[in-house]
Amino acid sequence: MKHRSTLLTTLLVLAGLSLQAQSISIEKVQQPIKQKGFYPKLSPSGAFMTFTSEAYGGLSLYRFSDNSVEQVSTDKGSGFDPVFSTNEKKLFYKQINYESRLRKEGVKSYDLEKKTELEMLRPRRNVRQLQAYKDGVITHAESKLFRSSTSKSKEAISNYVWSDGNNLNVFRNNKTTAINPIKGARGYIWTSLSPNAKMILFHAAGKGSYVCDWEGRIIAELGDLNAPVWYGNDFVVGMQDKDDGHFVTESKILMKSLDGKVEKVLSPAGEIAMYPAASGKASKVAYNTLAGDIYVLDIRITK
Amino acid sequence: MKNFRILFLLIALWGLQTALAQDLSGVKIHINPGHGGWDSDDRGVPTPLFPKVGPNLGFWESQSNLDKGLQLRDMLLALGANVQISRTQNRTEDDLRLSVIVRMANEFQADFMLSIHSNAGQGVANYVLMLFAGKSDGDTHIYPTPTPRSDESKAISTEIAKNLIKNRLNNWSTPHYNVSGDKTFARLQMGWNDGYGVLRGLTVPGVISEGSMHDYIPEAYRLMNMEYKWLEAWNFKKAFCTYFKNAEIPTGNIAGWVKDNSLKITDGQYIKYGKDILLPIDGAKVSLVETGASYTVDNNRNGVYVFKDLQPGTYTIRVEAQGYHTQEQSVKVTKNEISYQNIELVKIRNTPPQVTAYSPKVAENETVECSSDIVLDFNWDMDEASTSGAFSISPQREGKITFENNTKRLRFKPRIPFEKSTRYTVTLKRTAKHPDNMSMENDFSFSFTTKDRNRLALLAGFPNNEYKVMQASNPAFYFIFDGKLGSTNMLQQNIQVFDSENKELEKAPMSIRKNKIRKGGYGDVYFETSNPLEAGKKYKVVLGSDVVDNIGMPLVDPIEIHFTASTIQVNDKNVVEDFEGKVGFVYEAAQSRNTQSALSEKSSSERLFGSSSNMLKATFSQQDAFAVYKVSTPSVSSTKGRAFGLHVYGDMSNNELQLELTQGATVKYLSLCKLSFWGWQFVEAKIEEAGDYTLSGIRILRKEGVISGKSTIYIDNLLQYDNLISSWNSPSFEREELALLLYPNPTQKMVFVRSESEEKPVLQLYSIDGSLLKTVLSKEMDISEFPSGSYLMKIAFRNRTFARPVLLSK
Repeated sequence: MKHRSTLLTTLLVLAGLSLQAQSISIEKVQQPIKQKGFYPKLSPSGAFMTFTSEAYGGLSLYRFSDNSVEQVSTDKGSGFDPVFSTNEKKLFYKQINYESRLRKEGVKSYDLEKKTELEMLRPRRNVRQLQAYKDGVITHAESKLFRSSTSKSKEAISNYVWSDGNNLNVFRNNKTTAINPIKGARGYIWTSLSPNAKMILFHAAGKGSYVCDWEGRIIAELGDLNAPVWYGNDFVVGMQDKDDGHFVTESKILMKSLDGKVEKVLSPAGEIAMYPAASGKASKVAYNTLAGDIYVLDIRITK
Repeated sequence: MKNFRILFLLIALWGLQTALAQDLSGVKIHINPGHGGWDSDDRGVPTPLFPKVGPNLGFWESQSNLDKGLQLRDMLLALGANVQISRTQNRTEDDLRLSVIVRMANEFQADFMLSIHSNAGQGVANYVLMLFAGKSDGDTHIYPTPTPRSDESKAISTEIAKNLIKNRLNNWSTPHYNVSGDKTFARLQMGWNDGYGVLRGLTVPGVISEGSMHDYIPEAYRLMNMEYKWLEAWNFKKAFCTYFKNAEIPTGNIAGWVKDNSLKITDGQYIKYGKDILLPIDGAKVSLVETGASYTVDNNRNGVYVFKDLQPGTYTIRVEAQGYHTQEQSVKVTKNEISYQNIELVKIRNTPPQVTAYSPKVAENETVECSSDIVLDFNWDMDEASTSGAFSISPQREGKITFENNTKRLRFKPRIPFEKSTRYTVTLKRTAKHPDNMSMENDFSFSFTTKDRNRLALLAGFPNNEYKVMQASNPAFYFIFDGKLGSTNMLQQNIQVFDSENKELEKAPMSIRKNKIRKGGYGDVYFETSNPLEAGKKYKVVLGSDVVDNIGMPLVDPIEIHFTASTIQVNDKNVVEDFEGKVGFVYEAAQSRNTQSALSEKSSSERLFGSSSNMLKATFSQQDAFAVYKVSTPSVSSTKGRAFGLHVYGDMSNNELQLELTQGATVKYLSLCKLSFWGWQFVEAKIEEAGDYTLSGIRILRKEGVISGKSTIYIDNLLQYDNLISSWNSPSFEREELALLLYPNPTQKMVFVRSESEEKPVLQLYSIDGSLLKTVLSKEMDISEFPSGSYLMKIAFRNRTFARPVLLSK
């Protein structure tokens, strides 16, 4: 009962925020990078964008300020979910290698000003997703939380969310919990923390995408939406892809408000558009096509 | 004591090895049982056992993949592996998007991702296919997107393939496994460039395992057996043990099938390689003597049995089934292997074979069709060699012996139908045996007498040897036989139209009509080609020897008719009536004879020029009959030497179309054509008798013919000009002079030649295939000794030779 009333309260708050009808429009579409790229990631401010190859090998950085592209890494797996530090001076990414045919991952950082690389965590098993922390990064590996920082700041980790593929885990108030909010989900993937660190976005395999709070109470049901990412605290961008069991047959990029009142397809009809990235601060959404073309959209939300 | 220590040491070492081999702890494997649910993309395969598939009914790849995946999951968990499986049920909602499966494996940070499938090979192929991420060796194709090669993926793919190909329960269509890069395979075999979605974006080595081909029906039956799927899962496990730990599984397994040693599976017409043809013995009990374990073969027509996880050693397998001799086999079990032992049981046949039924079985005064097969039914399945050797027929007849119903039925099919009105005796000598080497106690014999018809005869057709021109824009074919025709499929296959380069033309499937003639047991077939012909080009239509009627009587001798395509239209002559205004001819009942009903009206459905033609219709009540249609206002005059030409849409009635010409009070009829064609033709006739004439009408005169009782024809553009056109827009068009008549035609017995000459010609009767059958020096010939059908009569005078088709209808 408590669960239901909390949910109701949350929905009412969200509804109150959106009393005026909102609309989403695309202001500009550009294809800033001529080379093929996949899985773009926008920095929180929207000043930078990373991209990688079809199987996440190698990592490239695009600077919107001067339209330059630089190769950050050629490591295997380095393109898989890199993160920017909160001050956007560093870029953190993983590398995959195999020892005795078992997968190990290490963490590296890239200084965006000096353009230098630094090893943050030596390769080990089960290094989970990276989360920005001050000028460093947080991850979970081998049953432990790791905090790597390039400064001397030792501020305690306040929160961290990650998936091991099967469980949705949170670290908060110095405690780790598997919250697993959706009964019958085959696994939890594409988990992320909202910019205000109050909500968790995730996809429950076989069930759909959701937003919950730190206790696992569902705030928003986003339905059929894959690879969801935050656009500010009120919107999520994801893809609706379909396949025939062999290959992807269609996919579009969709933007949804958490209150369910606003929904907009951002990609043109007929294009197979996948794996969006978003920066609410910069009003930008990026995605790649099946053929590896990256598009960046300028978005406008009006009330 | 020392010996005990050594023994203890050996046992300890064996135990250590076992422990190592059994240990996959720390290894993370993602299992993706491909597809999910019972939908159209979940590969339900109808089989003779389950012609209709539905939820939990019949073979489904989605269920088969899941069964393998769940069993593999349990095996790997037992070895301490960390396993993630993308689904545990077979529902549509479990059919995860490819992007979700890939992401699950990535976030699980698996050491390997196995996507379990089986493949389709159009019911013919059955082989092992492993698809690893990337390009195959030697593939230099430039793909639209970079394609990272996964060597780890290829290595384990090969390991799995090596294990699966050892399967001896099935019969591979090729003995070699195929390990391919998914991008290469998808491009070359499937026609798309992006490879398989479940391998795109994987940060984990992955493979799509197509362990066998599920639309090869015997394999579908096997894949419905849970233990058979366990074997595939076990082979995956073995590959993982080898790949990750270079270790062996300390136990072994026995697997095989139980089948009848001679009976064949007869549940459908599908490919069966090797011993897949043998009949599995459902319900057979297989026991492992040493352990007391037993296995009962399922009812899914696969014969599969499996004993799992056995300590190495020698075991005895006992196989029992009702009606069969019990069999025991010794099998050596080796660690890390599957020992295959297929068992062929022998039926208990403890009485001599005997004929239980036969056909044709008729009274002595009854007769049977010449196209009949001889069928013998036995109480046992028979030994084919000795039974075939014991069979004979007198008078001797060439034919083919086949066995049906698991060799319990012998069928003798004569190469060509039996002779007419002949008494045959069939004998099966007592040397015929069943597979238990027991012979019949006595010879078996019976007799029958055949009817007096042993060929299907073509009675009429278009094109034919008289009308060899066909309208190019609307090619239509029509043939009449002396028996109701068999299946449309048979006609599709055995009546073919070819162009001059011998390329077969497609028939329009919806145009094919057959057996529309109701009376007299005649059969007919009409069809059109899908595409128009090319005017001026030569073609041929071939009626194959296997055109049969509905009792299986074949044509035997193929018929080939050559013809030329044409526009039919004659445009450069004076048109005296175009049938565009009011109706050109009006039916005149008073001047007609024995015409039950008739009609003349404008028609726009069949026309060659403008917007309309004139349809003439008549139904005759007697053989001696004609219908007259009068010109509304006679205005066309003519005289000797002038010719009339008319475009006529024929109806194959064989009736005669005549122009009525009036000379004062005298009425004369100018024969235009015999209506022995279908569709549009141009026909013409010249006035040979002196005098001035007025065109006063047109007449349909009934002649002998299968469908002459009714006529429906269309006429368009009547022309008048000087001299006959010997050649119009068809370069091969030939027209013989009408100074010679061969009648009656069709005939039941005699044919006569009427000519202007008193000279007796040499008459030579030829079969359609060109064989000379009979020669006489006379103006008549009795041809009743030959079967009904089409023939060619060569009529040779000293100075001139003619050829005419003859239809014999007895």
